[in-house]
Parts: sequence; structure tokens; C-alpha cells
Amino acid sequence: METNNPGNPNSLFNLSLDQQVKSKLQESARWGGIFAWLSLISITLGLLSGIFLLNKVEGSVRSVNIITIIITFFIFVVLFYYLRKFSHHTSKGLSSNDIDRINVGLSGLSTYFKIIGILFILVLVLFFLSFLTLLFQ
Amino acid sequence: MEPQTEQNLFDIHFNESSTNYIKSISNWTRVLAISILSIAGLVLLLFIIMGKQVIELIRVQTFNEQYEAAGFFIGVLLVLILILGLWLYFLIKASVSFKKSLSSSSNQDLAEGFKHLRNFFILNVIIGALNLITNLLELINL
Repeated sequence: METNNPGNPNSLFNLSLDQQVKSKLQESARWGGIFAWLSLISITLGLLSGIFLLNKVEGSVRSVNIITIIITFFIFVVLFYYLRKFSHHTSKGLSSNDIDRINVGLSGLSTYFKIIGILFILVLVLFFLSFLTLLFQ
Repeated sequence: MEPQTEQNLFDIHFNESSTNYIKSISNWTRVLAISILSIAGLVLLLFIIMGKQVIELIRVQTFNEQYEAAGFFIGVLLVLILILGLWLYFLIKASVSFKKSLSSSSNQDLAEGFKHLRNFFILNVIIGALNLITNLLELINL
């Protein structure tokens, strides 16, 4: 059935970027971009205060803290990269009506949610294990 | 509900890659929502089973037996629960709208999905701004 798609008779996909979809996708991309930059600035400041606080602790606690700070910073930088990819490519793709560029943006958003999803599953597993430990203590 | 706009000759169309990415976004936002819900459920269960001991443990280990600080902690916990609730709402709504848009090829549902995603990011911007202020204050106090 091609009734919804008069401009592209060969397309199998009826979903199109009409004005309403474009406007909502543009707003999502804009707010996603703001959030990406905000979280990068925030984690950088967190890293700086973490470095200052590290001077006050010594021994194994210090090593654990360094590793925690590095891992957290790395995760946030990766998340920033994918969210920024979504924001940047989607905005550019929408202004130039370039579906390939929009797809690059959507792939960034998909990977962003994939990473957060996996991280939350890990948190859930750790939480469940701590719960069991507390329960049988 | 916003009025549906008519498609015209100049609208660009999503292709197979686009629909695959939207499907993936829908699935992973659902996974995220379920994970958040499960964590919240476990916290609730923990408080139901051993609420008194947990509060005592937090009070002794985290606040050196300061009752006011422990009260503040519970307040923060309640705000966190509210934020988690809003997160859940936007994620589930976005996931359901994306899924519906793919199964019924509806642009209206697709726009709804992106609207909920925008709201999710707005909420994150508010939380991020508060976090930024907290980190700045921490740095100033050091």
C-alpha cells in the first residue's frame, strides 16, 4: 500500500518526517545536546573536586577512589559522545533534509540508550546481590 | 493531542535503517524503565522487610548518629523517588509511542514519542543543572 507515500513510490516505509515529527525531533535533539554539554561540564567539575579530595585520603582508599573517578569520567565521556552525535547529526540532517545524516543521529541515540540500559542492568544485579547479602546476614 | 499534519510530496521518508534505530531506541528505553522500576521495587522491599535496621545502619555509618542528617537523607531519598517516577513515565511513554508508530506507521505516534523523549531530556537538564551547581559549590568550598 503506497497511499501514504506519494513522493516515493518505491519506499516500503510509510513513516515520514512531516512538520510535526520534524519539530519534535528537532526539540529532542536540541535538549539532548544541552544535556550532553551540561553533563560533560558537571562531570569535569566533579573530577576536579574529586582530585582535590584525593589529596586528603591515603592508602588503598585513595587507589579505589582514583579508579572509581577514572571509570565514572570515562563512562560520562562516552555517553557525551553518543548524545552529542545524536544532537549534532539530527539537527544538521533535519535542516538539510538528509535522511542518512538523521540516521547517523538516531544511531547515536540508540547506542546512548543501549549503554545506559546495560549500566542500569549492572546496577540492578549489584543491588540485588547486596540485597541478598543484607537479607541473609 | 496536537493536530496531525498532512504528508506532502516534499516530506522525506524514513528507510529501513531509521526504523531499526527507532525500534532499538524503543526497546532500550523499555529495558531502562524496567531496570529503574526493579531497583525501586527492591529498595521498597528492603524498607518493608528491614526498614528499622536500614535506617539505623545509614544513621550510624553515614552520619555518625546525627538524627537531623539522617532526616535530611530521607528527604533526599523521597525527591529521588519522585525524579525516578518522572523518568519512568517519560521513558515508558516514549517507548510505547515509538512501538505504536512502527506497528501502525503513524506519524502522530512518532511525534508523541519524540515529545516524551524531549521531556525526558528537559528533566535531565534540570537535574544536571542542579548537579552542576552542587559541584561548583563543592569546588568553591575546597
